[in-house]
Formats: sequence, C-alpha cells, structure tokens
Amino acid sequence: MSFPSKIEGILFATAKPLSYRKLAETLEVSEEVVKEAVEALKAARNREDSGIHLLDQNGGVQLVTNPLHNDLLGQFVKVDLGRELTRPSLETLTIIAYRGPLTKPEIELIRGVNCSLILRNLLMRDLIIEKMDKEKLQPVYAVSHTFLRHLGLTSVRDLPEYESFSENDDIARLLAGPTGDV
Amino acid sequence: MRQQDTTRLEFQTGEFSGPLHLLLTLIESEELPITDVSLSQVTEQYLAYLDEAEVPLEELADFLTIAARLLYLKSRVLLPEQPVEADEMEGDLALQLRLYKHFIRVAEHVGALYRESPQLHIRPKETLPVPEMIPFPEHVTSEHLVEVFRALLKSLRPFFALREETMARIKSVAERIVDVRDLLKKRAKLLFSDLAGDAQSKAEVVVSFLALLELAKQKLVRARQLSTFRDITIERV
Repeated sequence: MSFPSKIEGILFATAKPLSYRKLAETLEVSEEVVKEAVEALKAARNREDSGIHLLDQNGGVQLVTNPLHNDLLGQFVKVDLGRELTRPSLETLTIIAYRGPLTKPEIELIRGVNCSLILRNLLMRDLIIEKMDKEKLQPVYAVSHTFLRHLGLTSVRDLPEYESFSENDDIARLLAGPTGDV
Repeated sequence: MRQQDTTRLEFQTGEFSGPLHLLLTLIESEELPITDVSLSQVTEQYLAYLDEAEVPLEELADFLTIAARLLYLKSRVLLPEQPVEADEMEGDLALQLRLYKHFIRVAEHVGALYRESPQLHIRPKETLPVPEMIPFPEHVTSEHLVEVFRALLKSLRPFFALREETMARIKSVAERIVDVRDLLKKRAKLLFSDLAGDAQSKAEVVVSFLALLELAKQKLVRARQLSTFRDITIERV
C-alpha cells in the first residue's frame, strides 16, 4: 500500500479539508513527508482524465471534482451559485488571493480604504479565513477552499498572472514602507 | 480645459469602492499617466467630488486622507523649492495607485472566474442521521459468509435429490416403452400382468402403466380392458 494512497483514503472518508499537521499526526510522520505525498497525489490526480482532484490551500487539502464535470454533476448535486460579488468585495478578495495571507492594515494599504466591514462579510460567507499570525501578532486573512472551489481552481497558483503579483517587488515595497497612513 | 471637466464629470454617490478608485477614474478620464504631477492636476476634481457626494461615514476618513496627500503633492509641484522635511509623511501615492490599478485589472479576471467558471464539488457530509436500530453485526468475517452459504446449499440438497428421482423415473418410463415394444415383437398379444407381475414396487407398476399409456397414445399398441379391475390386453397395431 503506497503512502499517498493512505492520504487519499483519509480525505475521501472524512470529506472535509484536512491540514498537513493533522495528517502528519494521524499517520505518525513529519509534515514534510505528508507534503511530499500530497504533491505525488496532486501529480496523479490533478489531470483531465481524473474524476477527482486535490485542492491545496492554507496548509490543508481536500478532494474535489474535476471542473470539466461541472455540467454533468449539476444533474446530481445542488450547485450553489452564491451571490454576486460587489466591487469592494471582489477587490478585497483579489488582493487576498494574490498576496495572502495579509493583515487587515496591509489590505487597507493596497485598497486605500477601511476594510473591516468587507472582511467581516467575506468571513461570514466563508470566502476567506482568518487565522492568528504568531510573528505579526495579529490576524491574517487568506482565501478559503470554498472561494477556490467557486473559481474552479485547485490552487491560488492557477490564478491568472499569479507569479507576477505574488512576487511583485513594488507591492512588497509598499507593504514594507514606513507609510502607515492610508 | 480642466475647469470644464470639473463640471462635466458627474459621479453618483457610492459609485466608487474607495478613494483610490475615485482617483484612478479621474486620472483615466483625463487620460493622464499616473505620476505625481498628474495626481496634483486632478486634486480639484477630487475635492469637488468630496463636496458633492455623500461618502459613507466609515470611509470618509480614508477619502480625506487621500485628499490631504493630494493637496500636499500639489503644493510640492507648485513650489518645488520647499524643503522636503515631511517626505516620509507623503508616502508614494503614485506607486500605490499604480499597484491598485494592477489589482483591479486582475480583479476583473477573478470576477469572471467567480461568475462563469465551473465549480469544484465536494462530497457532501451525510445529513440524514444513520439509523441506530440496525447495528452492523460484530465480528462478521468472510468465513462467516462461507459457512452461511454452505448451510444454505445443504438445505437445498433434498430438492436436488427429488429432481434426480424424477429424472430416474422418466428414464425408466422410456426404458419400459422399449421393453414393451420388444415383447410385442415376439408376441402379438400380452397382458398388463405380464408387464407388472414381477414388479418390486408400486412405482414400477406405475412406470409400466405410463409406458403403456404412452404407447397407446402413439398408436403403436391397442389396449383393452373388458371391465374395471380386469387385466388389460395389449395388442400390437
């Protein structure tokens, strides 16, 4: 029995996102070993000819369907179309998707406007998640599995022009700059 | 020209998702590049918008902050000789706006994906409670299934035996027919008691009688019984 297949079995049986840490604890191996196995699974599964894909975000993985089967699956499962995104919501989600995890001040620096209400709304709709950053000593925000599933993507890396934004020096300079005054 | 624009540009309240959005719209409507100079040029339109529009209270401070930065920029452009003490307060508004512009460009892609992209489905959690009245029997292995199946086969055995007996009887009827025909080849006439006289069992008598009936039906023999319980005379046709 191959090690990645154990992870696949666990993900199928639990039907929810599981963190690398949880998987490592359960299987009594290091997180590194889990990550390697997940990469192997992704290489095998995230292909056109596989009905099951692996969604990998926020240090957690879960099994999802192949986006090519969306129309077909619509006949069997209820498709949650969700509500339209308002422009501020879309802007905020985009910034978080490309540069997350980000703190609230960092998001506000890029958008130039207070984002408290929008962040709360996005959290309630399960489009983003909030977690404590131990180094920054404040909450950081990242897009959720739900949001990526809605986009039909198994990773933020598949977003258009992801590399050029996630590694943009100007953004880093802006975020690191002394100007806290938005 | 700018004076005209100030009056021509009419925006609706709440149209902008933030001060940077407003600023970017102003710059782009003037078809200006994003530089300190062009930013200072749209300061008046920006302030005009703030005067007329009802900016939501929670965002007003952010709009005013940008207004202050614009006024400062404008003063720097008009008086380039002034000492640059307050430089760190200024920040880099042009850079911030350029980055914002990039983000709202990709936000359009993300919005299109959100609206149009096929979704990834997950296996839904079981919502119906599993009935507790049907516990799965403990300690059941595949060997148990084999045992049960063997017992089932055993209970079917009498049925198979019955079928074999039927087969045997059918076979003996066929044989008896041959016997009777052979006998009739030798003798033109015989009695049923000749056929069944040495029978070991009732079944044999029945088989002989069935053979006789079959032969009569095929019109190979003629059978006659003068009265009830009398012997049956069998003749070759």
